[in-house]
Amino acid sequence: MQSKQRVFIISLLLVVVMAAVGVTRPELFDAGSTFLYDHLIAYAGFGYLIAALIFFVFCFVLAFGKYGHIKLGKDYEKPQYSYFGWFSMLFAAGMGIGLLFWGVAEPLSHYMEPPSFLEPQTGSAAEFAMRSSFFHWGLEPWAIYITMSITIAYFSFRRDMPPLISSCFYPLLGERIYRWPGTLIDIAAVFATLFGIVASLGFGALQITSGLATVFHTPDTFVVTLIIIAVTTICFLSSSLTGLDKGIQILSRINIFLAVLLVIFMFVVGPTTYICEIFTSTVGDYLSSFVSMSLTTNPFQGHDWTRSWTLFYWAWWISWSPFVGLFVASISRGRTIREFVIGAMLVPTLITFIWFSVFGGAAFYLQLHRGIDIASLATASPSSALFLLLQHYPMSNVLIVISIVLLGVFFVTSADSATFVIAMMTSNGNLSPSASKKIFWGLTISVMAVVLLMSGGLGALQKITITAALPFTIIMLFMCRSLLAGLRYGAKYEQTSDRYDATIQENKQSH
Amino acid sequence: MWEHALIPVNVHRRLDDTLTMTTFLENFATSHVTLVHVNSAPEHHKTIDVLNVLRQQLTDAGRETDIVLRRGHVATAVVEAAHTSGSDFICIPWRRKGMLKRGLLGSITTDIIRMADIPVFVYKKHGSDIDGNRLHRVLYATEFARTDNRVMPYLTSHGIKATHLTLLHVGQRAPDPVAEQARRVRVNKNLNRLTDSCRSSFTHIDQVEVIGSPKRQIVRHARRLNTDLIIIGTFDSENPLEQVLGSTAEGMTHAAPCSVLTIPGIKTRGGS
Repeated sequence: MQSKQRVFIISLLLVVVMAAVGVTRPELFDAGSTFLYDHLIAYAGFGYLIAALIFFVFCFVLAFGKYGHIKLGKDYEKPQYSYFGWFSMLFAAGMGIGLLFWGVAEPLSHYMEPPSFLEPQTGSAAEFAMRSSFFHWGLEPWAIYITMSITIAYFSFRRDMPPLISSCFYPLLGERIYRWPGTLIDIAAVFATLFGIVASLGFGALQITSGLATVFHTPDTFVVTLIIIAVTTICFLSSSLTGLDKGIQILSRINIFLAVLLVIFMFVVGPTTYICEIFTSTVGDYLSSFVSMSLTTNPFQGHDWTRSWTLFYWAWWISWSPFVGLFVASISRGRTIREFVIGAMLVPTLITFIWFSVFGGAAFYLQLHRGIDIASLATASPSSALFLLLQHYPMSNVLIVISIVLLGVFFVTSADSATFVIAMMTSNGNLSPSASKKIFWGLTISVMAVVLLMSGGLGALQKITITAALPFTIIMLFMCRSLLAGLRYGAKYEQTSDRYDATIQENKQSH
Repeated sequence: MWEHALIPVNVHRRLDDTLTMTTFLENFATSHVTLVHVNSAPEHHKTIDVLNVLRQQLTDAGRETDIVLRRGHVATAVVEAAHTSGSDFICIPWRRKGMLKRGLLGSITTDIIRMADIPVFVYKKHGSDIDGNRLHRVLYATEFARTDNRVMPYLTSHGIKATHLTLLHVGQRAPDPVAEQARRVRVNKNLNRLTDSCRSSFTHIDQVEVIGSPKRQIVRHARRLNTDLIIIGTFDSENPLEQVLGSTAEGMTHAAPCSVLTIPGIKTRGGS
């Protein structure tokens, strides 16, 4: 097998096998994935917590340490995208779609079903719900993404290696990155990215279907979901074929504009003061309990809750990190490590906190002060939680349409970025993968989403994706080591070698 | 350069190793030996007797020998004694200690290596020294800029009577293939320079360049080449992690299959 095509062919075979099992034997697929998922979360869950904290500390040490000034590119290079374009794309690729899904549903779910050491539907449960939502979508998830993307960006743009996960291992593996060890790492990345985006596409389509049913009373059926996937596929393929610069950036800018509009509207209509109070008190709460939340698995009481939420999220962010990491790296060329870490960690986190405060806060206001039981409905059907909230606001239909557009565009940008990343990974890191490869992977994503929705294997696929978190946690820990080795080498030898040679010359002359 | 050796003596142990080591010192043409004994209690007459016997044996072997008695922390006292007696280097016969014992009680040898500002020779009986403890193969593990300035004068002064010299550089792989190529060129250039400098002192000189953990690779190559003596330069790094983990030289003495000569360098900033 030609080494250039190895990643592409093996990934393709794996995808076909997995999809075939998912379609023909969904019960086997589900049992296998549940077994893997349960055991990984049960036995390696605490490891995810430790690893995420390590990545967080690693990012800060990099940013504020002696390597912070190093550019992710050549010294003379400038950032390719403006701050607004960069933040828009960071947000769109990283968490946009998830925030729409969980912005209302997650705080309400924790409020209704908190860990067993808390009384449900109380002030403490609400406080806990907001703090946990901030935690699950805050600094550490971004630290996971940043660790991955900063390493890829360093080796790709500063060291002129192909933008592949395997390239990051040159200091540790040497030429072996071009052989099987490197191939396996890249296949794992393709696998995690592809299945992750298929699961997201499937669940996202279901949410849009339920949104349309709420507003326009369209039938909540598989045919509608199928049409939504088809339309989305056409959109993201068109966007993908126009190129990264144009497609994703334009869509992301439109989306951020719409999202800001929606947030401002919700904030102004209010309850404004209530939202501000929730924001400030939860930020304080989050910061003061950051370390304990980062390391607790609640082993005595509430362990099941931690497994289903925190550990699930951590595994999800890690398994999602090859895709986001590669994408974020590709848009961050020319920034310094310090600028990258501060920008990519603090700004999206702040936006996320505002988002949760506005939507979660508004939902809590309805629940606690207006006597509208939105929490039970949202917990029963998280995909319609946002629409349930918007129904209680003026111009609700317009707001719901905007939300559906937002969801669709986030959807398109995520699928677009994923198609680009997978095509790039299966083209030996070619930053301009062929259109045929992008179309091929785009269609593969959509077809898999449809067939797995039909067979009921989508949940199982999501679990399979999460199992990729374990190898990726190990890969990422080694990536940290590799990046440090690279940075240390650059600082130690490349800046001093000339000086050393000059010293030798001086010594020779003096003798 | 190697005329005056300071040898710490533990009178509670058998002195065979110490005597064998003094024979090995012929390879350095050492003519003057200072025996130092460090005790926490007042010296017993038996201690003095043992030291006198040892001195007599060394004097009979043609070496000027004197005795120094000290009290206090052993490593500190030995280093101070070396300083005040004007010794050129410290010689310690190696005594194997298990990892657990080393972890719990520490190692005086390691402490001396860390504290000394003159070379420390740790003598280990080695398979190839059957013909009268003669030194054949020497391996110098070079770190170039960090160690050469201090080590090279010892290698080029004809003070070490060995025929073969292996110049070993254990490096860290560069972050990309182009930088790696440049690194290799630079390493070869530096190894050639060292070879030229040492040509008059050794009959055969080999060059070995490898990537990996310095300690592991040095031990591996010393074993593979049947080396009699490893020469390694030490340097005080300001890197906190390196300080906590200890230098390669400190760890080397435990793992090396042969004698080790550590030559202290100057303090460096982050190891540049």
